[in-house]
Amino acid sequence: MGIKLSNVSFAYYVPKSKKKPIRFTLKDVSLNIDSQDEFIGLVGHTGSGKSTLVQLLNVLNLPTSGELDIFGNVIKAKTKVKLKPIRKTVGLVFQFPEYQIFEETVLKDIMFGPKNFGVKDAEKVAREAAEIMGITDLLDRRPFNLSGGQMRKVAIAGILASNPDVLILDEPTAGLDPLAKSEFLDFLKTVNEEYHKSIIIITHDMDVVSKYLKRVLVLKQGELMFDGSKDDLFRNEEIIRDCNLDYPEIVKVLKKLKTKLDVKLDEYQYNVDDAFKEVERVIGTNK
Amino acid sequence: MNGNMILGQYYNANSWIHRLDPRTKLISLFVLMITVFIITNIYILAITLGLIFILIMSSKVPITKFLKSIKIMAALLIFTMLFQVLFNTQGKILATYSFDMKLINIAIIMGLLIIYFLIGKITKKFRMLQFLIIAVLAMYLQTIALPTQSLFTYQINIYDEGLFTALKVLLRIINLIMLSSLLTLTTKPTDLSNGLESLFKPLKHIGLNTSIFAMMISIALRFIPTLINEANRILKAQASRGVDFKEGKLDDKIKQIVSLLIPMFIIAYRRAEDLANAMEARGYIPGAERTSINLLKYHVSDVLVFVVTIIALGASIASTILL
Amino acid sequence: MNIIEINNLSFKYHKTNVVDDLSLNIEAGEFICILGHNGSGKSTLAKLIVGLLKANQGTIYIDGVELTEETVDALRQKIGIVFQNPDNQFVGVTVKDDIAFGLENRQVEREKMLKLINDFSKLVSMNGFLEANPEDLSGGEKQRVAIAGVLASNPEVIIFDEATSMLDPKGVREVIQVIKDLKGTKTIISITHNLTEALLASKVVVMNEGKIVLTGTPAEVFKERQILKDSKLDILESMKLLELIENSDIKNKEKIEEILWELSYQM
Repeated sequence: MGIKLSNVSFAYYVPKSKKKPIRFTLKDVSLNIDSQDEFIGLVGHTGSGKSTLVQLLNVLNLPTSGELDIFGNVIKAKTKVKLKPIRKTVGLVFQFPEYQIFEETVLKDIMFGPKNFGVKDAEKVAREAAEIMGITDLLDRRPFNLSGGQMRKVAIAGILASNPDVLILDEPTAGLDPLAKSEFLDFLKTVNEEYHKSIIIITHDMDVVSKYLKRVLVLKQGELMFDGSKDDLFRNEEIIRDCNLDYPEIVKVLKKLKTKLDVKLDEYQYNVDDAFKEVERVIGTNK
Repeated sequence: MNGNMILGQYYNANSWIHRLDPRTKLISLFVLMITVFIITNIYILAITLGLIFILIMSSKVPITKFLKSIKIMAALLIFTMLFQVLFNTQGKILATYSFDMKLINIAIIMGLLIIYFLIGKITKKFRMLQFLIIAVLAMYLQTIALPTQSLFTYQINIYDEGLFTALKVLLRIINLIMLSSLLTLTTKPTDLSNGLESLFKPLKHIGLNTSIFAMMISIALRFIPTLINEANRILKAQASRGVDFKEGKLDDKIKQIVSLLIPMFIIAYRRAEDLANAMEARGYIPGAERTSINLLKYHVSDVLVFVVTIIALGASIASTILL
Repeated sequence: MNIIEINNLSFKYHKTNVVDDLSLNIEAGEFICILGHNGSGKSTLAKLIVGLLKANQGTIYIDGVELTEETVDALRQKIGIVFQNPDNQFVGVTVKDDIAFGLENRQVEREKMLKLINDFSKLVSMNGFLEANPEDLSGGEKQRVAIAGVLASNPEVIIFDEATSMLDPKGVREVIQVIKDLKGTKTIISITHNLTEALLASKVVVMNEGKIVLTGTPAEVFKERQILKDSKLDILESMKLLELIENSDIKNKEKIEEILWELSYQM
């Protein structure tokens, strides 16, 4: 079980006259997402359809054509099923989620989602989610007195509390400074590893992809151009060029080092430790 | 999407009316509205409508846009006309209708209303038409002989003055709607705001600082499209948290609306802070003298419009005195 | 010649010193970067320099004149500031109106305004968008319009307060290119937590908890990896690799270290 897209296309506006061309935001996308352990990066230029894709996964929109299968619920263009229960299974955290907060206390705000989804004992699940996010000491505080980073954690706890099977985050580190950013991503990695929840992250940052993510989906002008491991992606010069993607910093450093030193270095290392080991392996030590 | 058009009114085209100075249009609208009020003769009102119609044709804006404005006012129009027809008791009686409200009529009316609501659950189309049919049917059934006990009877008299006045009111209101639509459909909101600012500038001499109002309106116009997009984003974000405006008791509904309003207020507050800082840093001092990048200049066509407007006003005064 | 002199500046917010007894001199024509994590006080410092906030203690001199309530309006003509949020500093209904805003405030006559708008919109490559509404523009485009608006008033100093923090990679590239082109023509203060931006500067100042903890050229500052870490700043990947290599037994490590330093500059 999981999420399956079969030839899904989406257009915001379908002109009544069949002769007029339709402007598709998403074209013929097919992919599978497992309900556990996935840690996927969704990349692509602004306007490539990333937000549209994740909003479809959260059934905020219905596909214009094609079929969405979300944990057994089949959704097509004219589907009339109740969408709310499906939204519970896929948790979507928008960019700058601190703007969703509105309740008087942190606890109440985290409980808002579970209550709407009819979860029994919303307070219990809210407290559990707060514990996962490490904000139990903030539960009685007024959310608006917290720092930006803390508010962001409150917002995410609010989505986690409904216990979605898949968690999608749109640019979760936007606006955070470098340290807060890596702390946050380390934390998401823990959630992925300890709780086995599948996580999809929309990001522009290739360093995030390189350091944390396993699988990458690349969108370009609404089309899925690549679906595979990050290693396969970065080794594919054509896709990188075609989709105007950047290399992770460490890969760029190794590429230049390789040229300057003129050695047979495998520049595709995704963290500093592996990069160091590769340099050591190729250059050799003085021992 | 052009930000200017988001306000829902401005229609982009290149007609002589579009090209007029906004001040001309504002002043002419005002004067012409007075003109319409002054006219008492129903035939002159009809002619006026005809003339306005010619203006509409030359504006290159599709007539459907104008008809939409009338549709919005339809309820008011019908109510005002009915009021005149039913309660104006001057002149000669043209017709008399007797109504007999019997027990069965009440049952029938309730039945019809239930049918109306049930249809409403299936489709939202032609609601007004359905309502009119039901109203006419309900009234008609009070005129024919039916079984069961009669509760009370009443008469409605229709006087010729009533009918006449109703028609006059109708024509007047339509004239006014068409005139104001002509203004809003052919003038960008920012031009309207610049025009108003220019016209109200002299008020400075009696102590009213209009430049601050003009700045407020200009900033409001700038941010309306932004706010609409943001509201959409927040709606979606809250929908992800299970907010569904179609479901829920009153309590829940209030909370749902709060979940939209509070974030919007907070964003607006932060925005106001940032914007004030940016404006101050760029040397803005509220109420101080400023120059303007926008230049409003009168042309020959504007002068001609002014002249014609004055003539129209004169003619309407004359027609009222003479006829 | 110091165009900006900051002496023992302190600013309190809710009993904490957000800026704490800070002193800094900036020479005319210099490109200085103020690095710090969110909450280090760097943005507050920027607001103090343009007089949007009033210090509790200390003085600021701009081009020899002390910044006070009486002098702030005149001194603001010498300093332009571009803020972080592209939407919240865009005042005009169109690009043209927004660039004109600062000029209108300074009562520049219309003919001259038109020319300035023309010239500066071209400089930031937005001259084709003069009638565009902000809703139709990307973040990078809006920031470039903000820069044009600030430049049109011909300030001597221009402050970029996290001007790229909210942009996508394309927007960041566009804005950094404009900043690069400005280098040398104005005194530039770039406030950021982005290390790549810091490399553009000739002098880097690191702030933490309201104080300056480190000053120097980018090369000098990036060597102080521990201070950077303590200031909650990340260090460049190339620097992390450098650290590992320095502590290792790799052959010819000096040569590799040299190359890595060189690369850091080109990033």
